[in-house]
Amino acid sequence: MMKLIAVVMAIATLSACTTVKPWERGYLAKDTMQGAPIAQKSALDRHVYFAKEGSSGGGQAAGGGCGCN
Amino acid sequence: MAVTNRINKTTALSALTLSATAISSGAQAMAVPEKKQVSVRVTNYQEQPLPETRLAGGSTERYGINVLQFSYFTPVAGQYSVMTTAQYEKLSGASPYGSAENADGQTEVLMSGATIDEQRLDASVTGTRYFKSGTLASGLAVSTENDYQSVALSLDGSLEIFDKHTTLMASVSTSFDTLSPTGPKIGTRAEADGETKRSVSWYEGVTQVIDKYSTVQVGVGYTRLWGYLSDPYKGDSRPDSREQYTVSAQYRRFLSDFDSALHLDYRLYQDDWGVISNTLSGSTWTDVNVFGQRIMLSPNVRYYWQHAADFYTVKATTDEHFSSDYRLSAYGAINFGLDAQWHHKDYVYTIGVNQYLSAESWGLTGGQDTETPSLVNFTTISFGVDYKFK
Repeated sequence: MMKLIAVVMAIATLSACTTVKPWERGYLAKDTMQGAPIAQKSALDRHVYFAKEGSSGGGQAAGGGCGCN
Repeated sequence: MAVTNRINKTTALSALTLSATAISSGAQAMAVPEKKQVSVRVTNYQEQPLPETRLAGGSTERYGINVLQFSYFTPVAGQYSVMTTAQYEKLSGASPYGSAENADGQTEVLMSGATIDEQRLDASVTGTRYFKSGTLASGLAVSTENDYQSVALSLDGSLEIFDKHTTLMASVSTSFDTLSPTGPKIGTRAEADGETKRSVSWYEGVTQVIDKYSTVQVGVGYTRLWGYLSDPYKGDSRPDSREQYTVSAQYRRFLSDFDSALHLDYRLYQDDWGVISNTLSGSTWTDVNVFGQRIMLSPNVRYYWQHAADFYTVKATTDEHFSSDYRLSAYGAINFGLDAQWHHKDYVYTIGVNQYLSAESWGLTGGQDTETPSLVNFTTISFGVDYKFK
């Protein structure tokens, strides 16, 4: 697992990407391009999956617990 | 139904202003959003009944939960913002105590009576400081039930580098939980009364702008839990610590021909209880113009499967650790749903439906022969309203 993490981080830091000027970032700035365009939906989905599945996390540090799990 | 293409109307100046928010596909944004926003969302969550043929006792009716969410965001003094959230859940129905194999080799489920009627309230406040090339946020969250209390603290930071093409993210959190099981104080309920659970968690990620249409975020996470990790209502015995690792990736691509954003997410999870899981999800977010109104449609699908914990069993055992909790069994699940948003003046109205189905045979790897009739299927229906202050 740790090797896989190292490989992923190494790939992520490679900058083989196009230079994008600020005025070319209109598409990237759209609400629908963000991580969670409907924040409350994403928060509740995370909570339900946390309560009903055997694994959780990813994308952010874990939050507090609840009696559901 | 004409597909809109609002981006063509976006001026270079507004693109410059917006660009700061585009770097991160996570929650962080380098520029302070200018408007206050209040959001309210109600959701009905309903689990399907358990098959009567596999009921060893109790009720077949499973949980139904009504959820009310509230959030309020406000910028402060030009460089700060405060986000406050609250969530109230009212829950009723029955829950599985445990599963066991009968003489015919079939797995039966012992359920609670249909009298469980509980409430949960959680609230959080997060303050964020915005810098020229980054953010720093700290948060406090509390969750309270009649049998469980939790307090969590978090710290998040982000930093833009390489001319805003790359954003580094890091977050840490810790939680302090206390159990106080209700009902007869016997067995594990008596044992768990007053016990505590702790966690520490960190996440580090990188978001990279690939081109003017796409970004990718990858990250790794680690969580350690320790304390009383068994479930007092299921009479099981679990280890008193758990270490969880995640590797995750989020890809975002804007399909300009369709005025649509494509989201593809993946998460690999592994812990020292033997649970391994894979989660794949995808969605599209498409703006359409219906009779002059801006409507956003988002169908989504999610596929999840996991391997069982090393100590999961439905057979009688003398092992130190054992559990028949279906959440620790091997299974697969698919979720599909549709969300729609109507943008009207300063309001955004949202409606969403989701269906979650699971089965022990749906995993791609890690399958086992044991039946798991307590696996859950559920439906959610949501309605929400956002209002941005002028």
